[in-house]
Amino acid sequence: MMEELAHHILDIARNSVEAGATRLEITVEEDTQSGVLRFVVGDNGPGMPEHVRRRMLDPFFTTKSGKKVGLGLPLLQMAVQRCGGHLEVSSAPGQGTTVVATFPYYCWDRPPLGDIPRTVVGLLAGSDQVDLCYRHVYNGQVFELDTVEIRLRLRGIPLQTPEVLLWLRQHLAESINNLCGGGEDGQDRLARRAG
Amino acid sequence: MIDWQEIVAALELTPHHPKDLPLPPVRGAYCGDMMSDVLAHARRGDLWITIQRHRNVVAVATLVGISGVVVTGGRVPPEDTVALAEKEKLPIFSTPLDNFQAAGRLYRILAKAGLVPGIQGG
Ligand SMILES: Nc1ncnc2c1ncn2[C@@H]1O[C@H](COP(=O)(O)OP(=O)(O)OP(=O)(O)O)[C@@H](O)[C@H]1O
Ligand SMILES: [Mg+2]
Repeated sequence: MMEELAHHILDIARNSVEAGATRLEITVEEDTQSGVLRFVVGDNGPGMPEHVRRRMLDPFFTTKSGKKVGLGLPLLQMAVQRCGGHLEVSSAPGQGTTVVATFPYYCWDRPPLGDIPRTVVGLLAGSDQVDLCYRHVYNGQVFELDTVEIRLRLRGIPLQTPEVLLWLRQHLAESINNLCGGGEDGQDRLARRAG
Repeated sequence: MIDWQEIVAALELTPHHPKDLPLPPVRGAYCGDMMSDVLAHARRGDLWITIQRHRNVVAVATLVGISGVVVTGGRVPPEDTVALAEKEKLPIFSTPLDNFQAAGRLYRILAKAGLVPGIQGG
């Protein structure tokens, strides 16, 4: 496992990009009442054939050349198991791949969510062919950002322009913070969210 | 050269690998339970002290070039981990000591051999 869930999300989303996906949908769902934190990474990539799906959680399995181990999914599974959550991967040739990781919200061993803006911007900076929709749901309140819309608003300025990425990062940070940290007991909730 | 016998005795190690597995030289040590941290900071030849016993430990150890894994706190590595370690020729031990105690005892041995940076051997 890793220090932040955001690192796991980055790893799983990189799988999608490496598989050739052109659209990613990342959702983080926090429900403090029912005590669940879930993230979903969905892509429109080629999907996994059965023989890959069977072995995807084996740390010594990878389809990537020049590597002996494939740790993205096995480490996520380990993180999930560590706090009694669960991991679901649905994938089939031609159908894309969706990874759902569900954690108990209140668990000492659950990594904190971590730096989501950095993960999102890191993904966009690394691959100009990819469009990404990021959704954050906090106790039913939704924030959503889609790079398809942002590209339209940019009227031809590349999304990967450093100033644009910087703006995006700040915008995401503020929006997520407002969504999750707003209200009177904001500080308290923020502290608990951090793990 | 570090004497494996001395490490085994001092850390109260029980091996879970085949008796005839050759033990590689120990050049240092790392203590950590977070896989990404070990991937980033442990070095080839390190002995790895951890509470983790998931089979991912074997993959991480192999990738880093760990000389041996010490699972602490009386935890016994499960069958699939032991089988994978055997396949990868990775020495794997367990000890009743906790991370702190195991690392402390190993530190003394490594320092004596001049393998702790900044600490004179003697
Ligand atoms: N979104 C995806 N689309 C298609 N195939 C995937 C996807 N995610 C994972 N896979 C397949 O599952 C394998 C295992 O993935 P995993 O992330 O565990 O390891 P890896 O990506 O090969 O290596 P690492 O993550 O350590 O860089 C991949 O090699 C790939 O074949
Ligand atoms: Mg991967």
